[in-house]
Amino acid sequence: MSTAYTPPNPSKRRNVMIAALVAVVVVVAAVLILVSSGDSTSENAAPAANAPLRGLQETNAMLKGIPQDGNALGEKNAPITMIEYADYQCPFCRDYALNTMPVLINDYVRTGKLRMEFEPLTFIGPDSETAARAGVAAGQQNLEWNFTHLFFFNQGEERSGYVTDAFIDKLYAGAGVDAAKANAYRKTPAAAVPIAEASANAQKYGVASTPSFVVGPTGGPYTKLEVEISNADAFKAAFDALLK
Amino acid sequence: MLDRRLYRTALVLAVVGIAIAAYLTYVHYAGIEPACSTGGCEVVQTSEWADVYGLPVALLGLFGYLSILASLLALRGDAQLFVSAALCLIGFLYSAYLTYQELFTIKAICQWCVASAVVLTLLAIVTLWRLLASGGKPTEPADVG
Repeated sequence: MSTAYTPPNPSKRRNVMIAALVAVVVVVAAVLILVSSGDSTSENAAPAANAPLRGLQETNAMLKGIPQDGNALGEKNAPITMIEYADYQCPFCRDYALNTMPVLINDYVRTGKLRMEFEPLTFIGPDSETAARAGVAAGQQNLEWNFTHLFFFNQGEERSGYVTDAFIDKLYAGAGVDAAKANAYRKTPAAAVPIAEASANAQKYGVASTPSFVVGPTGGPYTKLEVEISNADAFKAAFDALLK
Repeated sequence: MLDRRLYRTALVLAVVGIAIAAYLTYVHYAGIEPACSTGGCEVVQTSEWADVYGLPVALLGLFGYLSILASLLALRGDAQLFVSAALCLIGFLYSAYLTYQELFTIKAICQWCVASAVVLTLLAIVTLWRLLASGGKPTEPADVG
């Protein structure tokens, strides 16, 4: 509809530039999208299966003498229970497990005041599912907590594909798990059942991040615990309030 | 007159984008949960699509918004129109892709990410509008001020 005279050259040049702009935009956006979904091509340093196992002493010292039952750690009749929702690949879950949790286990689980349960979520990727199934299988032998804690000590880069059969075998060996039995179990549909339940429970409690915690009198009702995961004192305050 | 209004709108949007991306970058590095009413923020922020070769998407977004603001402030004339439109369109396409992943793959919504996607959509509209509205006119050397 333009009625005004426009010099042909700038307008033509402009059309060429707009075409170039569209081309550049499409190419750059396509490259960004391709690299951001690059899942299996990761060059991340996965811990080699033959790397030495870390954290064995610490794990054994932390758990020694505390009863385990499936995914639960601590006395059955402990007055309060805390359920952790965690993804094996999540670095914050490792930070909590290695720094905050040992204090809580020593002060509350070991003394019979608290029971802890571990529920695996698997949103980060396929390795999370493999690890969660391996944890459930260790739980069949009442060694899930040993396996899980060793896993966090030896956690690799997220989504780097480090959760191999050899990696799990190494953790099983450290945790004292009967590997032949656990490896057979973790590939059965039964091993996926607690994972599906964990996911359903997490939704029920509005868990949207890991690690997340719900706490309450053993048997429930449980409510979501909103604490800074590195702050052991905040956990303790919540426990003490429930123990009163 | 219109262009001036669009220019100001783009500036404001870029600053809003910087604020959102800066907050999400902070949350990423501080390892805390973003203030989130949709319940999906950390699921999204720790998902497979939350980083590009180890660089968090939030930080990428921050760089993107800073570049958009810089292109609006530092460049003049056609260079400003083209570069800002290109940056905003790239951001728009990429954030559309991420929003698609949120809805259909991760199945969790992060309100901050959606807010950023909306800001980028508006920025793309505004900067493209400026570019097309100036179309056909010879470039003005008087713009140097």
